[in-house]
Amino acid sequence: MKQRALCLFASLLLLLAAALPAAAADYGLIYDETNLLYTDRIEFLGTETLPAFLERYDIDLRVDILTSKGDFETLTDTAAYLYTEYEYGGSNGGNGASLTLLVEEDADGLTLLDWVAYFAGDSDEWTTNASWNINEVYNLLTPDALDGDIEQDAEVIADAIEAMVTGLDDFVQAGGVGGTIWSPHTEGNLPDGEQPGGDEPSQPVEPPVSGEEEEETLGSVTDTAGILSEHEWQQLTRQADQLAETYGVGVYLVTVDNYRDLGSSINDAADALYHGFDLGIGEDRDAILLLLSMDDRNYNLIAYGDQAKAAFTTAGRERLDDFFLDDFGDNRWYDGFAEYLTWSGDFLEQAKNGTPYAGDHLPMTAEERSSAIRTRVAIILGVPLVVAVIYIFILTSKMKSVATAVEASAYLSGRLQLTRDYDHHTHTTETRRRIEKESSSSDSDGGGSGTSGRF
Amino acid sequence: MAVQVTNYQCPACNGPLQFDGPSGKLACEYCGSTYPVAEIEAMYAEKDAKAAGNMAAAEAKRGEDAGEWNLSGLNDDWGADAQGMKAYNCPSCGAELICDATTAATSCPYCGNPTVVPGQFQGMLKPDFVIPFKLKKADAIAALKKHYEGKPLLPGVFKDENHLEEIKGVYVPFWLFDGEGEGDVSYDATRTRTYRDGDEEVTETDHYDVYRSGYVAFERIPVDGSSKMPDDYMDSIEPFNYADLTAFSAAYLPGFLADKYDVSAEESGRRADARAENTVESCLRDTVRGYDTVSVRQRHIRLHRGEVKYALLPVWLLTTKWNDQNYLFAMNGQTGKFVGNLPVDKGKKWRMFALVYGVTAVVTALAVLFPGGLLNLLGM
Repeated sequence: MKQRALCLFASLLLLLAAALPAAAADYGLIYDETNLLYTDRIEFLGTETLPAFLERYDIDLRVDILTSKGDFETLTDTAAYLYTEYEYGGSNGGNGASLTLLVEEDADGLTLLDWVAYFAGDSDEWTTNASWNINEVYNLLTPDALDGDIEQDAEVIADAIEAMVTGLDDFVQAGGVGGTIWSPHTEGNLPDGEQPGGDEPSQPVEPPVSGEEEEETLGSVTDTAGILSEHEWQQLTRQADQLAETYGVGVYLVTVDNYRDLGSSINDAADALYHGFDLGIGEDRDAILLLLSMDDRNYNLIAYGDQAKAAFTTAGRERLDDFFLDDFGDNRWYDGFAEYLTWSGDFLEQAKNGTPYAGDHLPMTAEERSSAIRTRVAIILGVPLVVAVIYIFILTSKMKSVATAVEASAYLSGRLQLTRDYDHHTHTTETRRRIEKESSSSDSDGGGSGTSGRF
Repeated sequence: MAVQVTNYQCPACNGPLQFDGPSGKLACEYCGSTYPVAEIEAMYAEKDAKAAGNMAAAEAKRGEDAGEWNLSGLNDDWGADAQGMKAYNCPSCGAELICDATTAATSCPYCGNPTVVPGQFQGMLKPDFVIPFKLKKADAIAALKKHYEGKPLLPGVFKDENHLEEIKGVYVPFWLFDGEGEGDVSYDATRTRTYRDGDEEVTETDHYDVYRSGYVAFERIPVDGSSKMPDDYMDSIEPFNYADLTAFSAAYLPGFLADKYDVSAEESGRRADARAENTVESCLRDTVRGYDTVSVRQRHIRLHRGEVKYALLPVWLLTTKWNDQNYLFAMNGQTGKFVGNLPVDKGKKWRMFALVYGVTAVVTALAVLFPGGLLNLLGM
């Protein structure tokens, strides 16, 4: 009897275990029912990118990767149910969207069975028009999109999520949601593009007037010209914030359409930002600011505060801009900004170690590094070759002692008698070559020490 | 973009002339003199024409080529010496040898043929001069051994295995040419300086018209008159010390063979001409100094050919054989200067090259990659 009861209990346990679904995984705002799609990129999207979108636009973006539609006939119904049940869009039913994928696990990885983008919220513009801005997601999530192994499938899904975020970001930036958009770049102002309604010109960054209004702050990366994607902006912001935290010097990067909206010269524009937004860290308000004016392709790299000026000397700044000007010249904005931040870190580290970049102690550009390597290789290979050739030539010439005489200097009777000689100056020729200068350094009226030029 | 301008000099003070817009003239920065542009350009054109005229005048002054070599001093009258002279011919290479009656020519000193035949001692020019042998056969052999020393590329077996095939002291017939060389040469020369002027790099080049003319005398340029004696060997054992040049006497011949000339004085004279011309030009060029670049624009060399003398000069000839190849060495029988090309061991050459390359590469790499470390290693 006891044995029979035990067997029955074990069988029930086994049945229960078989009935229980495999545990799903949550990566922030991404739900993965397969528990197979974890990658750093997917995690970043779920824990950083989607929450940042929510924080920036108050629009809740979610991703659900399901293995079944549940009891619903269509995946859209499943998505609508999940949206409401789990209070996507906030408890007040705010704007949001969910990208819901239905997948099946197979021998190679996953197969995409269906997908849907579900939009909900209290904004008609959002619910009606936002879906027109995710065309790239359609291009990515084709029926055979998940034909590779699990890793490749995760990459495809990550691409689709990013495409959705980018498309919706553009939609919101263009005023598609309506009303006022809050942005961490310039609180209270549109970053770029049109005002809601679309007819008025875009508003530039305007530093607040201190004393009369509450002083606003500027993020470490401010892209009013709109040349960075959301993901790029996040990456750069994180990098700049880390540098500021490590070295106690504010590291700023600002793009504007035209610096003349801020000041009569690019130095003045930088000063306006620095003082208007109270940039810098510490008592001295140490900061390094890179300002790009996109209309006329002017830039200014300017240091404020003793610590920042010591780390970013004039010679150092002129070398620092060599690292990113080429990228800007080719419109590779993210690459150029990343170089600026990476090298700023190096400059700050050198200053922290008591050996700031200045004078002859400067970092080598990539071209200088290649040139230095090529020179070293040429010396290491070439000098021994020359020495060996000369040595062998001397030894070989010792073996030959016979040669035809071409002169008879040994048989001169007396010296040459010059009968006539003159040296007449006929004319002088002069060649002038201008030495081109690419950038110039100067101090700003607002206390900064800057290097500016064109890119 | 580079810009080139031409500057003229003030005729009054040699200062630089600049174009003065208001007056339309060239004005001197130093003395303030002004000149019409056409006047300065005409002046420079006249200068160039004058220089060309000087050349033309010099050319007009030159007559025809200054005569042939003077062979009037040569003669074939041996006088009493003829009694003690013998002649031999080599049927193999055609060498015509003379020696005194006491000397037997057992083999040809040029080709080694052992069957030289007696010939007719007639119609041979009597030498005007001779430099007697100062050094003996043993000196020549010692010089040969010394010649092998200090030659790391010499095949090791060469020293051991090569053997002296023949060693002969020979009086080689030489024509000695006297004369004078005269030349006039025009050159284009420049001097350049570079400096920085604000944002510009300025390169200033001064151009010069240089002219030299002069003459120099030659005495006894030697050219060997034997076709069997390689000219480059005879050139290489020069110079002979003419202090020992003495009037010919058959008394110097015993024990040695003398080669009869078979290259005429006229033919040998062409070589003397070439050496004399090159020397005149070289002497004139040596007087043009202080310029960054010098190039010859025009040259004219004229020779005044003088007397030709016939002399016998002492040479030790040594032939060796190695690897079925003959090697000829010659030693100046008066000064001891020893010449002769030696074989190069190719394997040794490349091994030496690799060794030097390897060692230098290691040292260079250390110096380039670890400069501080290398200095420490050297105790600096």
